[in-house]
Amino acid sequence: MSARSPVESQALPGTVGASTVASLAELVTGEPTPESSAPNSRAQRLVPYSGAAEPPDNTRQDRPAKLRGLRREVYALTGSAAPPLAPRVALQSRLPAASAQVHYAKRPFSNPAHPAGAAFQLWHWERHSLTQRKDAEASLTPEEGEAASAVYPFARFGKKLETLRYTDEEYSRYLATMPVQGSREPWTKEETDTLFQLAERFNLHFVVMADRWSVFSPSPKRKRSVNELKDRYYTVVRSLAQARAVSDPGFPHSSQDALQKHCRAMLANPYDIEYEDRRKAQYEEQCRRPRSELLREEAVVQQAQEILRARRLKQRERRRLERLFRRALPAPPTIPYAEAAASLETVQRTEIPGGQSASWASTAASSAGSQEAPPNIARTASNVVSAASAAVASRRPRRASHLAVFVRSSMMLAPVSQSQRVQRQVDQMLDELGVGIRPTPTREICEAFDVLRQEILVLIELQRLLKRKEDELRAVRQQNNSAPAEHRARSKRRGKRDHSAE
Amino acid sequence: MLVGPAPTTDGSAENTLNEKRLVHGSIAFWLGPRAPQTKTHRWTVYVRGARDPLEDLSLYIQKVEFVLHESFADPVRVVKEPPFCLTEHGWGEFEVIIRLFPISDPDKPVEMYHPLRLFPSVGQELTEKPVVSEHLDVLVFSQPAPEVERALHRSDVARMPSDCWGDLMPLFGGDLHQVEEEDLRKVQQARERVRQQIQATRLQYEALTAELARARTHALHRELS
Repeated sequence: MSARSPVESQALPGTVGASTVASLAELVTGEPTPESSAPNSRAQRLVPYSGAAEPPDNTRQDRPAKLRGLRREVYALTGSAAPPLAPRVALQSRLPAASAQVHYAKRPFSNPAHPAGAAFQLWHWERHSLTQRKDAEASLTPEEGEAASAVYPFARFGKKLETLRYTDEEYSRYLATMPVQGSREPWTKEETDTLFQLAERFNLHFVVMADRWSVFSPSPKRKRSVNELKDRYYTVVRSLAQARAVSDPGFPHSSQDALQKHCRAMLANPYDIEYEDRRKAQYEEQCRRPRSELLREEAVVQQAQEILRARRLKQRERRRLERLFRRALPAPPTIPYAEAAASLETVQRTEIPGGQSASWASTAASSAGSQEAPPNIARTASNVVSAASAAVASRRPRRASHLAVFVRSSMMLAPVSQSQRVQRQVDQMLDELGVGIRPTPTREICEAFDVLRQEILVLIELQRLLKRKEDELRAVRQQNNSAPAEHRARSKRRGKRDHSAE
Repeated sequence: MLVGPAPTTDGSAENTLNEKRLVHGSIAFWLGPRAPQTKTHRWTVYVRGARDPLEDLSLYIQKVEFVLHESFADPVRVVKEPPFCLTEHGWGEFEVIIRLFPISDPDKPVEMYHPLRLFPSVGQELTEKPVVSEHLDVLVFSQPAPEVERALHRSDVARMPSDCWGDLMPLFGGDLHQVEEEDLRKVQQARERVRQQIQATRLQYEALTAELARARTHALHRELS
C-alpha cells in the first residue's frame, strides 16, 4: 500500500475507525510505519460503507481474523486501531517555512492635494519587496530610494472644482445690472464673491455652503437659504456664460473640459427658484403629514376604487341584459303585407317594453306596466308569430337552406346552442311545455318554433343570471349579519377597557 | 300535389309551388301471444303524399332508403318502386332513418327520422288493433329546374293504382291537418308561457337588484360608521 493511502482515507468522512495510533509515529517521522497500513486496510474491509477511495487490497496475505459479534466502535478501540488523540495534519501541506519573513520600510511621500504641496512631507510604511521592485524600476540604489519622496498613489482622485470666475469689469457690466427678483434681498458684490469662494471650497455642496454662510458672509445678518444660494450662483454663471458666448461665438462648445460642460448645462437648464421653493414646501408638507391621515386617505381611495369597480360590473351586466332582450325580441321585420306591417306596431308595443333603444331605466319602469298586456298579446298572437318569426328566420343562418331540396323538419333538428348542456335544457323545456322537440314542421310552425327556442334560450340565460344575483345577495347579507356581531364585540371590549381605565 | 296557400302564411307563388307535403308513418300489427319472442309484431314503414295517399312520389323521388336498427340483417333497405314502403317483423321500437333521393339531385339525399311505434300508448292493453303513427313533413324544392317543376306539377295529377297500398289504405290518417293546427296552437301557447316566465324572471331580477343595492348600501354605512 502506498504512503498516501492513510492520509487520504483519513480525509474521507466515515473512516474515523481507520485512524491509528501508529499514525502518531508517522506524524513524528513523516514516514508511514509498517503497522500503520495494515489496520487501515482492515478497517476499509470491515467497514464497507466507509466510501474509501481505494478498493480494499485483497491480495494481501496477512489478513486479520474476521470480525464477529463486536460493534465497529468497540473494535476500533482495540489494538493498534485506536482513534487519534489529536487531529492529523498532512505533512505535505505544511505552511511555508518561516524563513520568508516580510520586511517593511519607512518611506516618505507627498500629497499634492495639500496646500503646501511637495514641501509637506509625510511618511508611511511600505513592504520591502514592493519598495525594491519600485527602486529597480527607477534604477536606484537602496540608499537613493530611501531618500526619494514618492507621490501619494491616490492623488489622482483628488479633483479640484473649477468655477467660472468673473472680473470686476464683467461684474459691473453684466451682473450688477441684473434685475432683482421679487421681494428677495439684492446681492452685493461682496456677498457674490464670498459665494463663489465657498463654492470652490466646498465643491458646490450648497447645503454645506448654506450652513457656513453665516460665518463667511460679509453681512451675517442677512439670511440666505439653500435655494437662494443656488439661485444666485446658477444665475450668475448663466449670465456670464451668455455674455461670453456673445463675445466668443464658440465659447461653451469649443472644448470638452468640465467648466464648459458646466456652462452648457447652465445655459440649457435655467434655475427656477419659485418652482424649487414650491416643490420643497410641498415635499415638506407631505413628509409632515401624520400617519393616521395617510391611512385614512388610503382607505378612501380603496373605497372609491371599490365603488368604481361595482359600477363597471353593473354597467357590464346591464349591457348584457339589453343584448339578451334584443336577441329575444326581433328587429323590425320586412314583411310585404300591410296587415303584418300594421301588426308590427302592436308587436313592438306589447313585445318590447320600452323598445330596443330605450334605456334600462325606462325598460324597468314600463315592464311593470306591461303586465296587463297578455290579452292584447293573445289577440294579436298569430300576427306576432309571423312577424317575429320572419325576422328570426331572416337572421338565423340555416343549415339546410343552401340545399336545393330539403325537409323542414331538418331545421328543427339544428341545435340552437353550441353548448350541449344548454341544448339539453332547451329540449327538456320544450317537452315540459308540451311542444316536444319535433312538432309538425310546416312553415308557420317551424318559424314559431324557432322563435320559441330563442326565447327559451333567453329564459335560461335569465334564470342563470337570477341565480347568480341571488347568490350575491346571500353573500352580502351573510356579511351584514356577521358584521354586527363583530362590531358589538369590539365596542363591548372598548367599553370594558374604558371602564377599567376609570 | 299542390299545396294550397295557408291563410296565415304568405302565399307568394314560387314558395308554395315548391313545397310537397309528405307523411312518413308506420302501421304495426300485433301477432298475438303465440308469436315468436323476436317477432311479436309485423310493421310497415312508409312514405306517402299527405293529401292523397295515391300520389305518385316517384315522379320526383328516385328511391327511398330505410335504415333500420343495426340488429336487423342488412339494415339499409332500398325501395326503388312506388309505393315506398317496407314491411318487417320485429319486437322493439326504434327510430327509422328514411332517406329520400330526389330525382333532381340524387347525390344529396334528404333524411327524415321516423320513430317506429309498435305499442299503444302507456296504460293500454296490447290489442289486435293496428298501431298507427304518422308525422307530417314538408319537402322543399328551392328554385327547381324547369323539368323538376314540370315533374312536380305532373305529380299533382298522376295517381298510382288504387290497390297499390293493399289493406293499409283505410288505416291512413288523412292529411294530418288537425295535428298541424294542434301543434301550432301548442307552440303559440308555449311562447306565451315562456314570455310570461321571462317577464316574471325579469321582474324578480330587478327586485333582486334593488335589494342587493340596498344591502350593499347598508353594508357600506355599517363599515363607515
